[in-house]
Amino acid sequence: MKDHKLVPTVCPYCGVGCRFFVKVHQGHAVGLEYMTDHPVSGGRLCAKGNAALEFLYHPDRLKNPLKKANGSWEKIPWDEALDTVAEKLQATTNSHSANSLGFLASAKCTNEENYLFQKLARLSGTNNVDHCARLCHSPTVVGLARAFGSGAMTNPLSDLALADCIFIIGSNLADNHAPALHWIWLAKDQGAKIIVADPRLTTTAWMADEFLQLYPGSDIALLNGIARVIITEGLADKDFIGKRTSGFKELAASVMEYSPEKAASLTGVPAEKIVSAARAYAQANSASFVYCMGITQHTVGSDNVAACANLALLTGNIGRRGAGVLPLRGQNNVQGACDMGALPGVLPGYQPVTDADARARFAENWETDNLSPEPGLTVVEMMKAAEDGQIKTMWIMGEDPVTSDPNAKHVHKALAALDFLIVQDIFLTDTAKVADLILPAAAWAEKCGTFTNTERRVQWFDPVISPPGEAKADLWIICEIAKRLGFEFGEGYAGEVLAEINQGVAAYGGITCVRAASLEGVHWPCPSAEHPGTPILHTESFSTASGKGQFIPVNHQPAAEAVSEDYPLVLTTGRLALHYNSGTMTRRTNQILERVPNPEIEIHPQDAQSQGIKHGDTVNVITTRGNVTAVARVTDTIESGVVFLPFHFPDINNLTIDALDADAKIPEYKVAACRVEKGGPQ
Amino acid sequence: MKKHIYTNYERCINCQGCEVACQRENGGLSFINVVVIKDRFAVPLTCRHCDPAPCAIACPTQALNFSGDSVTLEPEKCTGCTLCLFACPFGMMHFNTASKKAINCDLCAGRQAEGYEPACILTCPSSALHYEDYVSYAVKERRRASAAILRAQPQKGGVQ
Repeated sequence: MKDHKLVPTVCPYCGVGCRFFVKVHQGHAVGLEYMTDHPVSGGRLCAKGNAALEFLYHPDRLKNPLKKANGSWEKIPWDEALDTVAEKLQATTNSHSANSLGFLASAKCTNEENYLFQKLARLSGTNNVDHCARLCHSPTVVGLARAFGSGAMTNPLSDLALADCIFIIGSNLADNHAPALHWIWLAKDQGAKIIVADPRLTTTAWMADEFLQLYPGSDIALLNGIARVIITEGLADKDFIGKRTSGFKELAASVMEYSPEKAASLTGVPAEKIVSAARAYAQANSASFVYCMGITQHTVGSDNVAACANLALLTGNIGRRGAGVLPLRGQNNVQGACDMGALPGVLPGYQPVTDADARARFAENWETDNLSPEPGLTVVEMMKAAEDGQIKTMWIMGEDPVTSDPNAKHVHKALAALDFLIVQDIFLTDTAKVADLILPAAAWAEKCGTFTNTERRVQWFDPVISPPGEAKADLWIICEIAKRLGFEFGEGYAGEVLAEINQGVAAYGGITCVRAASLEGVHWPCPSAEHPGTPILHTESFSTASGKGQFIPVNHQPAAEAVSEDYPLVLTTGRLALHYNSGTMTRRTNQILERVPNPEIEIHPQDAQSQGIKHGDTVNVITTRGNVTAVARVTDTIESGVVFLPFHFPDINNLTIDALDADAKIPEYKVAACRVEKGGPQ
Repeated sequence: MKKHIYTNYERCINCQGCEVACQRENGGLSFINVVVIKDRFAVPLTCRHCDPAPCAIACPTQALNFSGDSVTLEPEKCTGCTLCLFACPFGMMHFNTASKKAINCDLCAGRQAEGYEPACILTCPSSALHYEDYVSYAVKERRRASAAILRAQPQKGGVQ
């Protein structure tokens, strides 16, 4: 007999936005049931989603506000914690300036929480508010905005089923966005051709009809080479180019030097494969282009994104069912956190802080005259400013930069140098360990609000269970601190905040709680209550000022760090099917951890042999910035000269380089020079 | 007709969603296991519910029997001798170290009684796992195969 109820929720992991039911018995989450009619996933869940309830009850959950006193943690009442935060923020502004404050928002938190968090930062007088989108898809926001006028995924995932060709580059979606695969198999059943470009023969590449194993950091050479084939073989969509784009001549001139042979020499992909991939993509009636962090996490990330967009514009593969550009977002609400303006250069709805009219509108709505016209610092820049003493106080909500940011030893040093660090999280992360004050937060199932998935689909979820101990919803925490700073943010009801977002962010104008709670959710832009939402962007015109798609000529440039005699291997980092980002949640989930307890480094048999390394050996991976211990996984799915480490484990980012893309400020996680030696901890 | 778990091996991507789902439904034990070969192929294995079943034939106490549509275990009769583990040609008979008895996939009998399909089937992100009788599975596979053959044919009178 059923003695439980089923409460719908949204998965807390990646950006696909799968919904499922939590079985609740006497206030306890006792199980999970699949939502088989959900339009994104059809009920399907990956391993992480299946285990999502486990960490909620982990004994490590933070249950009380904690103050660091003489090197240990002391439980304090909420009032004292909240008063302290408000005092520190105020005191830093008074004795230095508002720009001595730094705020890190969270792609794990709701739209409503991110909206109020950035609002609090901006009312305090600074634009120093950013979040981890900087580290995954900031080049998408920059690059696609230049090309199409909007840095968001153009089509829903279900559209993949309608494509005749799917070009996947720098995305291992089989591991990282698994429920989206179902749509690709439907396309393949209809004869669609799948092309996968990646330095590793990933599980995604298992699906490929054509696999292009390129050298890390050579994406532009490959994409420009493909563009040249399309142009010289007369496969470009001249009608589309003439009516809907500008800059074709400049693009055509710029790609001419990338002959298949030259592209082959730069990428390591045979010339004939480049030609056949170009033909397959260009000759399809509807082709979809999928990319992810293999494209973005480079010093040329924005240019890589532009090179992808160029191919879609060249072939007219945009603005139609089955034809689009799909950057897969990594976190359940990274799209939403960007939409809400948790970025240093833009207010909610991507309104530039430098735009006086936009500032005036928000100043009026927010009843303030304190909005700064000066763009704030990005994540990595904030860490450097903290180290230099320019930032004195930071408030980090639901992020673990000590694990997730590049050159992590520096991050640790920078955060330790702060006068005061506030960390709001569900676990004592490596970042929280450095904090002066910890605010225990509710996890997703313990609060309500909206998440915006990778398809721009806004989905409301209700609380399922109560938070542990004295942990509180992030929204309540932000509102209580705002109150103490003299700001009127209300009582922390997500529905009220969403109503304010409806007023302030045009694309969210008609996205009410009721509509977002429906099975389908709502795709932004949805400007009014009557508007049905917009699953496909750029159908009639682009969102650029001219309404045209803009070709952007880009050129191959080598990665920031080259291999050398001492560091002869290219280290590239990425994700595994079973773990998630900094591992805060998955490393506290037994069902996951028992399968992958330690980091394994993928290394080609030749490279392993030359160092006397055998499968399963403990090895040291060393870059100029640090070293870590890992277990050797000797495999021919990676090419000789390249090694791969998953970034879900502590200290992996001690190895990575903090060289940045000039525009998007994303670090180059995908290329570092390293050496691998046999041995264990020294 | 008897329903079975059928696998489209081409589609399995070793995400292990089925294993984790099975563990959650079965108190930490997984009765489906994905085996990866040569870092390129993944094979999810489950109890085939054979009839006649080698595990049941080997069982000295008749704790294992084929009844209805599946091989079922009567735990009170099981002595934990593990002969069934040796007999299974797929290595899909399991041993519960807590109860010291054999245990196998029961096709989520508890879930099916509530009207839900087995967890591994519903969760499979790659739609590699199917729960059907063999006729309908074969018909579906034939349709897929014939569509692929058709795509390779020349047009006839403007129609392909």
